[in-house]
Amino acid sequence: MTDIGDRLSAIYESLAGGPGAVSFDFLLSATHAERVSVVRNAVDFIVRDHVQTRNLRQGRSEDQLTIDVVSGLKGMGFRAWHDAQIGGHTDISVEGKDGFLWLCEAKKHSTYEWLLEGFVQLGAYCPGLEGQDAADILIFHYAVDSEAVMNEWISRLDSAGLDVQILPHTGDTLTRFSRHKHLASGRTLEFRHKIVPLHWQTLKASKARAKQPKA
Amino acid sequence: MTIGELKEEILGKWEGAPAAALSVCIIEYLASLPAEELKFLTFRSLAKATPSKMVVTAELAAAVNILTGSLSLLDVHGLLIDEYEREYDLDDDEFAAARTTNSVVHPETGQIITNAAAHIVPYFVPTDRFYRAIK
Repeated sequence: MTDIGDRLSAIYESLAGGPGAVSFDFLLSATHAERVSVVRNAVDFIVRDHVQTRNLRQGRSEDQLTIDVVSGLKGMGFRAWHDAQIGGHTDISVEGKDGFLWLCEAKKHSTYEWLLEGFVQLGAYCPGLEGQDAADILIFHYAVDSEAVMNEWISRLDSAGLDVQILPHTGDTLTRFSRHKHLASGRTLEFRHKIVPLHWQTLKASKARAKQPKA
Repeated sequence: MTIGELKEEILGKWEGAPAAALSVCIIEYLASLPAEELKFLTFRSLAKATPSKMVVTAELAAAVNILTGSLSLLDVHGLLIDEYEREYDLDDDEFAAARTTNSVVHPETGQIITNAAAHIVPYFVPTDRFYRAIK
């Protein structure tokens, strides 16, 4: 016997678009494409919170930032790992039904060469099989103007001679997608590049006033 | 794998996550139910295993996510309930399509039911792996 509260619409209403709705999406997901999309939503949810609380996240190491994301994923019930041995030491991995595997390379931005190294590593770690051919590069950025860094990164990736196809903007200028051929399997890998703006500084009233034009 | 080993795996793998303890509560609750009651478990009925009882929470969703994921202890299916309260089991493809399009074809009349989410009850069934563990 069921009642109205057992129906999908009522469950989603109770979960109110929060992290529970993401967990519920994942447990219902039936295809690998759907799973990738839900894991990315989960990451977006987590890093959105990290950006909102960035004043408390200053000075964190790359490992700490990565573990924060893994903890968030585990909190939503994902089978997430930090530094698992999957073709190498993968920063973040999420496993799911039917052999699903999503990988992520998390980089604290210092140089574009460091990002390029992460991109190449991620390509090497990816098994490239069905359900194991999508991954993210997460760029933690503590300096100003993350959008400019993302644009520069994509431009450098495009000209790095790696035969990477950059996909058009999807609206969010801090997120881009690319595709390239997996060396071993010959299948297409799809990577999402997401920059997380964590710059934060207190502006004291005296300094803010000093910036005002004099009357 | 025994139920004890399953619990150990969950609490180890999801260490620190509140959902881990909750998913263990759900396993213990399901193991205590008569076989007949395990054939149709709604999401809210799984909440009976939790301190909040019938309340749907993010932690419950996370706990069920643990049990239905790569651990493969619960399978999820969809039941369509039409305007006359008649019930129809959806196959996996129909259920997936109904979720993504929010519409479903009525199995008898062939009519398209829009706002499918208001007509579908997701329900859970323990897997063979679960039954082997509780033996």
